Amino acid sequence: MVQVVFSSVGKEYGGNAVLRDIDFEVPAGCFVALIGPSGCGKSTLLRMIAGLEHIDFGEIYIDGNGVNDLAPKDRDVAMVFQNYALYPHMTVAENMLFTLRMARCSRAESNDRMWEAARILGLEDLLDRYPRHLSGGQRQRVAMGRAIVRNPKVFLFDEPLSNLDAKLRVQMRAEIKRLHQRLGTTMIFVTHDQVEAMTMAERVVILREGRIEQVGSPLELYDRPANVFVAGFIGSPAMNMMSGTFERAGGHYHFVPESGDPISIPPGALSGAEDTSSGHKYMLGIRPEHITLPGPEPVSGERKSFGEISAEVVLVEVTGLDTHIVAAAPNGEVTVLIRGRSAVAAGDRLLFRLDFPLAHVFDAETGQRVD
Amino acid sequence: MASPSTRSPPRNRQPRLRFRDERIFYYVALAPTTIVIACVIALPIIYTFALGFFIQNTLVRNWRFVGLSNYSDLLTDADFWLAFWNGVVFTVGSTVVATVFGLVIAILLDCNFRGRGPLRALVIFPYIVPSIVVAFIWKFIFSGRGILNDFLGFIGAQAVSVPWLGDQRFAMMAVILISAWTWFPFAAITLLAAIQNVPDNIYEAAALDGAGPMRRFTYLTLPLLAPAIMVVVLIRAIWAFRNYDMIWLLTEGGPIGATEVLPIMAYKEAFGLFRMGHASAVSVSLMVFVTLLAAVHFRVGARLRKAYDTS
Repeated sequence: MVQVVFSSVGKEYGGNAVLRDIDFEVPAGCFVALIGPSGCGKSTLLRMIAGLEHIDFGEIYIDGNGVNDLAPKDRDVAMVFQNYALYPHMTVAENMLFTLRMARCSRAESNDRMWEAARILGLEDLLDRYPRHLSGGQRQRVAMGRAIVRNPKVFLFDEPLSNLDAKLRVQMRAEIKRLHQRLGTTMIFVTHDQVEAMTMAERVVILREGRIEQVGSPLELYDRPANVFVAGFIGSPAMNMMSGTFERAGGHYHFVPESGDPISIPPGALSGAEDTSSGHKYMLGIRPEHITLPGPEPVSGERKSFGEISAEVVLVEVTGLDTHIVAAAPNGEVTVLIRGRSAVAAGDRLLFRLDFPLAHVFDAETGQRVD
Repeated sequence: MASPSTRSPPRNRQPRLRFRDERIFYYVALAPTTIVIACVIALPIIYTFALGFFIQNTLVRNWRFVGLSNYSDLLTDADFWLAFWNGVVFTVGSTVVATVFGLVIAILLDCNFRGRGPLRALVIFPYIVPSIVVAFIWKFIFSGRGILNDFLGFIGAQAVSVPWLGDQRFAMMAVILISAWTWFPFAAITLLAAIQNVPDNIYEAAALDGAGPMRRFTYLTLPLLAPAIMVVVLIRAIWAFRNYDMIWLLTEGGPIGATEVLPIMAYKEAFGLFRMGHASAVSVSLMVFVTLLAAVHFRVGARLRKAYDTS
C-alpha cells in the first residue's frame, strides 16, 4: 500500500496563488476526503496528484518517489472524473480494457481483470453497451471499473457523486466505501459535500482559498474544529456563533454578547485560556444539538440559570427524524436541533440552555480555537 | 364589491385574419418560396430532362425527338467516360488532399499558442477569395515562367520546370492542389469545431490510462471525429464532382482533355458545339451521380451521428 505526501505544494494561475503551502500526508491505504467551498483548490490539488496540472511549488511523493516530473501515465494513479469521461465510442468492456491495451497486457489477463472488475461493480450485463445507453449511476460504475482494472497505487475521485440524484448518491457512497474496504488501496476523494466527506473518509482535509484549514478524522473536525471556518463548514445545521467578551461578576464568568443579556457560565466550563479581564473579543460557538429547551421564558426579573438565554421561536422545521427550531435571540438567530418531535410552535417565547462544557471558543480576531 | 383593479378594461379587438385550419396558414406562408424555387430550380431541371430526349441545335432551333439515343450515344462516347473518370480523379484527389490538410491544420489550431486567434481567422482566407482571383494567383505561380519554376531554377532543378497547368501529365495534379487549397479551410474549420466538441477530460482520462499523444490521436481523436470527417468528405465530394468554375478558369478542361470533367463537357457541348440534347444528357447523368453521392451522404451521416452520439 502506498503513502502520498505533500510537501509545501503550491500552484499559481497567472500570478494568483490558488494553492499555498499544502503539507500533509495520506497514510497508506487511507481514505482521505478533500473538502472545501467552490474555488478552494481541492480539484486542482487532485489534478496535481494525477499529473494533469503542473506542480509549481513543492513536491508530491507517491510511495516515497517524487512525481513532479512524471507524466500522468507513469504515476500509476487512476482517476474517476465528475462527468465520468467515458470514451463514448467504446463499449463498457472496451472502456475498461483500454488502459490494459495501452499497457500491452495479454488478452487473457486483460479479460480476467475486466471480468473481475465487472463482477465487483455488477456490470456483467452491461459489457457490450455504449455509455450513451447507461444511466448516471451505471456510467459512474463503469468509470470506477476503468480505474479498478488497472490496479493502481492510488485512486483519485473528483466529485464523482455530484451528478447523481440524492438516493443514488447515498447508494454509491456506500459502494465506494465498500470498494475501499475490499481493495484497501489509498483513495483521495474530492467533494464539496460535507456529508460525503464525514461518512466516507477516515481523514478529512478542509481547504479554503488554497490553504489547509484543518486535517483530521471526521469526529475530530466535528468535536474540535480548529477555527471558525471549520466550525461553520462542518455540521448541518451549522454551528451557532455569537461574538462577545468574557467577564467575571458575582463569583462566576459571564459571556457578554454584543447585544442582549450576559449569559452566565457554569464554573469550570471555561478552559482557562480565555482572557477574561481586558475585554478581548471571542466567538462563542455552540452546535444546535448542544442547546436544550428547559421550559418557557421566566417572568421578567427572575434570574436565569447557567447558560440560559431567552428567545422567540420564528421557525420550526420538521425532518421526521428530528426537529430544527430557529429562534430570534437579541444577539442573533439561534438554531436548535431536537431529536424526535417537539410541541414548540413559531411565536413561543422560550428559555434556551447552552450546554456550556460542549461550547467552542474562538478568538474573534484570528478565528482560531482557544483552549 | 368589485374593485376597479380586478376588472380588466375591455380590450380593443383588432380584426384578425383567421385560418380555420392551421395547415392552410402553413401553405400560404410557404407559397412564395415554393414558387421561386419552382421557377429557378425545378423548371430548369425538368426542361433539361426533357431536352435530353431531343436533338436540338441552338442555331437552328429545330426540335427532333430521339428518345434515349442521346444517352446511348454517351455510353459509347470515349470522351464522356474520360470526363467521368477525370471527375472521379479530381473529386477523390482534391477531397483527400483538402480533408487531410484541413485535419492537420485543425489539430494545430486546437493547440494553445500565441497568435492562435488571428491565425484561425487567417486560415479562412483561401475559402473567401473569389475563384477568379484564386485562378489568377495560381496561374501566375504555376505558369511556365511562374514563381514555382523560378524557385526550381533557383535551387538548381530547372530540369523539372514545366508549364504545370499546360502539361498533360501535371495539369490534373495542379488543378487538384489548387482546388484543395481553396477548400481546406472548410475542412479545417468544421473539424476544429468537432475537435473542440470532444470534452477535454476524455483526453485526460486517456493520458492517465497510459495513452501517449499518438495513441490518443488514433484511438480517440480519429474515431470521435469520424462523423465530422465523413460529412466533410461527402460534402466536398459532391461539390467537387460538379465543380466547373475553378477548372474552367485554370485550364478550360485542357490540355487535350486532361482536366475535362462532366460539367465542362456539358458546357462545351451546349455552348461550343450547340448540341443541347447531348449537353442535357451529360447534365442529367452528372445529376444522377451527384444524387447518388448525396444519398450516401445522408445515409452515412445519419448512421454515424447515431453511432457516435457523445451525449
